Amino acid sequence: MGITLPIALFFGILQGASELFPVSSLGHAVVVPALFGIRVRESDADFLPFLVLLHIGTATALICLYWRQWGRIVAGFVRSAATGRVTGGDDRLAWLLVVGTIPAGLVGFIFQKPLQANFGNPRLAAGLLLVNGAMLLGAEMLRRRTERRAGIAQRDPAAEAKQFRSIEEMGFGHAALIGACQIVALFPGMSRSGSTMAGGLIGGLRHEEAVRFSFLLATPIILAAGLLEVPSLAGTANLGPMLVGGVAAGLTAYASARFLVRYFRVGRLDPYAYYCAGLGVLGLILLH
Amino acid sequence: MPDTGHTRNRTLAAVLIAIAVICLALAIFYFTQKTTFLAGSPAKIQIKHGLLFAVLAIVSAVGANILWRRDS
Repeated sequence: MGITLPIALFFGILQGASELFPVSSLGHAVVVPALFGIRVRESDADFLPFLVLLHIGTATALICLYWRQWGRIVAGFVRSAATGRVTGGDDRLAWLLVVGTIPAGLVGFIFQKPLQANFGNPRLAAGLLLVNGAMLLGAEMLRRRTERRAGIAQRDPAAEAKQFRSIEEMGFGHAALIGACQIVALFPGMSRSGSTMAGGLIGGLRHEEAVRFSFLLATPIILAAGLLEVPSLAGTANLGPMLVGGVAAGLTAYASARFLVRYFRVGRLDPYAYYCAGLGVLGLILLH
Repeated sequence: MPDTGHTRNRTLAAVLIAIAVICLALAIFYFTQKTTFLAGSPAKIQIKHGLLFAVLAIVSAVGANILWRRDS
C-alpha cells in the first residue's frame, strides 16, 4: 500500500504523539497499524522518504518549543569550541547534550537497521511495550522511595526543588548514562523518551527537568535521522500526502510536548506505564 | 600531594585525542574505500558513516582541547 493522504495523516499523528510521550513511537508504528490491519512495507519506495518527513516534522516541533534555548546552546557550543573553555551554563548544557547524544547516536547509527529488521515483529513489539511499562513503573518506584527518605509525601515542586537537581547541576557522567538509556529504544516497543525520563529520575533530576533533558536529547538524534536520509526525497512522486503527514507529525509533536511539560510539573510516569502494559497485552492477545 | 583532578583531566584529554585520531582515520577510510564494514551491503563509499566519524573526530578534538586547557 502506498502513502495516501489518510495513511499519511494516520502515521503523522501517531508518530508525532508517540515520539514524545514515553510510550514508544516505534512500538506504536509496529503494533497499532497491525491492530487496524494497515500495512506499509519498509520495502515500499515511499517508506523512507515518508519517515524522513515525519522525523523532520517532529524535530522541527522540538526546536520550535525550545528555540530560545537551542540558540543559546548552539552559541555556547561554538563559544566553548572557539575559546577552549566552558565558561557558562549554556556552554555546559551544550556539552552535556553532546556527551548524552554520542552513545545512542553511534550505536543507533550502526545497529538500527539490523535491529529493526529482526525485531520489527508486532508480537515482539507488544511484548516489549510491557517491558517499557515495567521500566517506567520501576523508575517511579525508585523515585518514590527517595522522596519518602527525604520526607516528601507526594509530588511537591517546592520540596523537590531542594532535594533534586536541574539539568545544569548534573554531572557529565550522569548525562552520558541518561543518553545511553536511549539505546534501548532501538528495540521496537521500548521508548526513547521513557528511558531517558526514567534515567533522569533515577539520576536525581526533578521530573520537569528529566522531561526537558529528554526532549533536548531527542532533538539532534531525530533531526539527524531525518536529515541524513533527505537525498531519498529526490524523485519521490508522492510528496504531497507525505508532506501533509510530516506537518501533522510536527503539529502533534508540538502539542504533545507542550502538554507533557505542563503535566510533569505535578504528574508521574505511572499512567503511561499502565497504558503501555494495556496496549502490550492487547497486542499479544489480538496479533498472531 | 598529587593533583588528581589535573591528572584526570589530562588523562581524559589524551583519551579523547586518541578517539579523535581513530575517528578521523575511520572517516577517511569511509570516504575513500568501498566497504561494508559496520554498514550494509553492497560495498560502496559510505558517505554517512564518513560524516559521522568526521563529526565525532571534531567533537573529540574540541573536547580534548577544553579538558587540556582546564588547568592551564
